[in-house]
Amino acid sequence: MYRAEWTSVTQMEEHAGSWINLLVNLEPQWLRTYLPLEVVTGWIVLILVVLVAWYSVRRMQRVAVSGWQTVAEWAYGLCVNFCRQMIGPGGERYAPLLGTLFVYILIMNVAGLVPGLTSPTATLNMTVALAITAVVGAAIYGIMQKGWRYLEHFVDGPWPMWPLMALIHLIGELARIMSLSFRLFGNIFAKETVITQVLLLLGSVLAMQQISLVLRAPTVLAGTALLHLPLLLLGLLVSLIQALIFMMLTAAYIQGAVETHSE
Amino acid sequence: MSFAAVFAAVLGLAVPITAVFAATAQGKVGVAAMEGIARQPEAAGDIGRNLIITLALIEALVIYALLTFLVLFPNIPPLIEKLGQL
Repeated sequence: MYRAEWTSVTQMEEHAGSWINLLVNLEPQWLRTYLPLEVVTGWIVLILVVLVAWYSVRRMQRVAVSGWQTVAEWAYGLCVNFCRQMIGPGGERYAPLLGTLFVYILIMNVAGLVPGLTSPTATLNMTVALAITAVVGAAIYGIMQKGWRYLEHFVDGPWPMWPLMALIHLIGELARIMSLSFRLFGNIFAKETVITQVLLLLGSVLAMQQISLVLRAPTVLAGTALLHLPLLLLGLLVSLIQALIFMMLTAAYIQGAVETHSE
Repeated sequence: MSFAAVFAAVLGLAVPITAVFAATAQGKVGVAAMEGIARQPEAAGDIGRNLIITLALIEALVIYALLTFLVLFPNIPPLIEKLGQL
């Protein structure tokens, strides 16, 4: 039942079956290299978030009567307060980007804990896309706020050194993209790898035919309670923290881009 | 002492050594944040926010080391096979 050359839970599921295989098998074979399960999960998370947001503000009233609207107002209030504290008095303009980043990344991270699914943020494609969005968004906000004076960030010191300083600053921006993406990817991929390996370990214990089932089953149950459950809880904590970190760092980059040194 | 053995041994040391230095640095940052909060409790919100950001930036370096390990780890058995000895 368990083969030693398997390296992922997906292979185990393809052989032994899982609820997600019913849906995955709907996809034609030629499409599976271009649209793997991670990308489709990302789309599903996106549609879910948009639906919840749309439902919350449908028939919006000044004094909220529906529960959804109250929750949405509270969440938006948290976001706006955070943006005002991080970025200054004009922070409301950046609240949509930061709030969306937080909610989207959080739900994508947690999607890996659902049995059968895998986190889209455990792929470098998704995290690099999010990091480029954040850093380029900060630059665009800087240009929108300050015009071409934004480029004064890039230069520092006497004017013959300006090309060198601009190059160093540009490499610093690329390093920001790399660090944002690798931080998120590393945390979520490591969380998922650890949970996968523990599951494969428990599965291999369950598949040992030499030992009677009466001994195997309680061992696997105890192993699930002692190994799998704490790792799932740790994964939940890491997902939340990494989503928060991504949002806070993007807010810090936006603050650096749009700050006008007050007199 | 073949190349594969040294490779595997040093690869296993990557994350622990990084974690030692990162834990030291994060401890120092934590101490400074705690002293700042003790000195000015009304700045606890600002100090807490900056603390979280700094801790994340240091932790990212450990994650880079972990990623290096995870990328190189599946290459150990092929390396052993190619060199023909352990």
